[in-house]
Amino acid sequence: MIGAYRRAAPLVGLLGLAVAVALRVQLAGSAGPRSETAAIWFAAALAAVALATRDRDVIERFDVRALAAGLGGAVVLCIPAAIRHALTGAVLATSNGYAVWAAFVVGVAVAEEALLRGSLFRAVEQRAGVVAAIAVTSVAFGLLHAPVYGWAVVPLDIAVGVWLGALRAVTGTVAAPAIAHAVADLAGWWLR
Amino acid sequence: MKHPSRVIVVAALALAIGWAIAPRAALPLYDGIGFPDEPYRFVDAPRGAPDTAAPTTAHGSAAVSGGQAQQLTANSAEQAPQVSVQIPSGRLTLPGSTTAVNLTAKPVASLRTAHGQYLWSDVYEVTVSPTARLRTGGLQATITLRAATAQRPQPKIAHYADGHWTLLPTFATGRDIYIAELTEFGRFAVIGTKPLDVSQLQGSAANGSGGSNKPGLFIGIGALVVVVGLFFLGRWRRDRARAVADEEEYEDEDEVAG
Repeated sequence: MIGAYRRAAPLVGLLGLAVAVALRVQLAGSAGPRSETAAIWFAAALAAVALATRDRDVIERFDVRALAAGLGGAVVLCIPAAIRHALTGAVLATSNGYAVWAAFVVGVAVAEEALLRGSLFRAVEQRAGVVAAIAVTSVAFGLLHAPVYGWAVVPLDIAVGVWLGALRAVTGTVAAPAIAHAVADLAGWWLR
Repeated sequence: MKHPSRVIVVAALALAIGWAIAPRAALPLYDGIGFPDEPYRFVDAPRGAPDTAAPTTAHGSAAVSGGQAQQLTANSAEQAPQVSVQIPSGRLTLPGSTTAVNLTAKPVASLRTAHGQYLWSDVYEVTVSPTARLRTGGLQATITLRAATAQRPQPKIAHYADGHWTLLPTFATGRDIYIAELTEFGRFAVIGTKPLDVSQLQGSAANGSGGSNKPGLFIGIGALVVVVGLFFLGRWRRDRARAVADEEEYEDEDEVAG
């Protein structure tokens, strides 16, 4: 029974991801990615799917190496945005509203990573290897953004998915991509 | 894992390609929630729009050598900017003796629109000083305008000349941000085919703040807390079961030894 459940985990994870995206789009309405309500339900749905599809025998590691890899990964993700910010002479955002915004951003980023680079990555890796795990989770990561941010972001987000997947593969824990993702998103406030 | 450095190099290459083909206006955000824009600042606010400060003028300047201007960028000061003009290096041609060029994109009073056309943004007058000519070919010069709402159908950026608006080929670079090629200076605005829906304005009484629905938000936070709680509860029970099993094993060993 447990074996059958484990075999179905990749499919359950992807279906759960699709349902979570549909829920977010439906709740957001015209507010789109700005909807806090849609974002929190999206995070809750992702976390629930991650919980249901996780490998119960594995405890994700969180140590200094994962923290360092995550922070380094975030720096790499921020470089092009920082260059663009400097070249375009964009106005530096004020910190008004940053704390609340940051709480939502971290919640969504960590929930996405818990599912994609956590349970889904491990489920695909066990069946088809690490390359397949990076590929599947990267494509899923790119596509999940399309309904909210538009198709223009998909190629970049797939590439970002590959980077986060590589961090997961190299460190062996979801903590590194979760830190990289959350920190890069938080830096985005100042780099827009 | 075998060859971790190769994995990182391949991933970094993928990332570089992703950045190279990404639109210039792509958000430096890989997910989360969208950046909260401040409410739109109108020159002529529609009834029901929230009170705001006046819209700002975008200023930019560039050095000129040999009659060709360096890259020129001008953004207005709102979050997000309501107008942004980008002119790549070499696209602005000026008299040979010129050493600098200044560009402004200034919000001006609304202009009449034709039947079935509605202003969804302020009108911005884009001018350069001294007078210059935009050269075609190569990287495009662009004007980016934020619409007051994200309503649909998708509007277009339009250029005003000879008493009427000409719609330009327009691309959306966000839910309410639009970009078009800048081929001449003058007045520009975002034009929609329906009246502006004031209830969709950021900060309007009907829209709340950022599309937030308070009961739904709190229930969602509660749902997330429950899921995270279940995760830690499961982990705690598993750790406890392991500890009990270890203890029993230890006692069994003790009995055998005794």
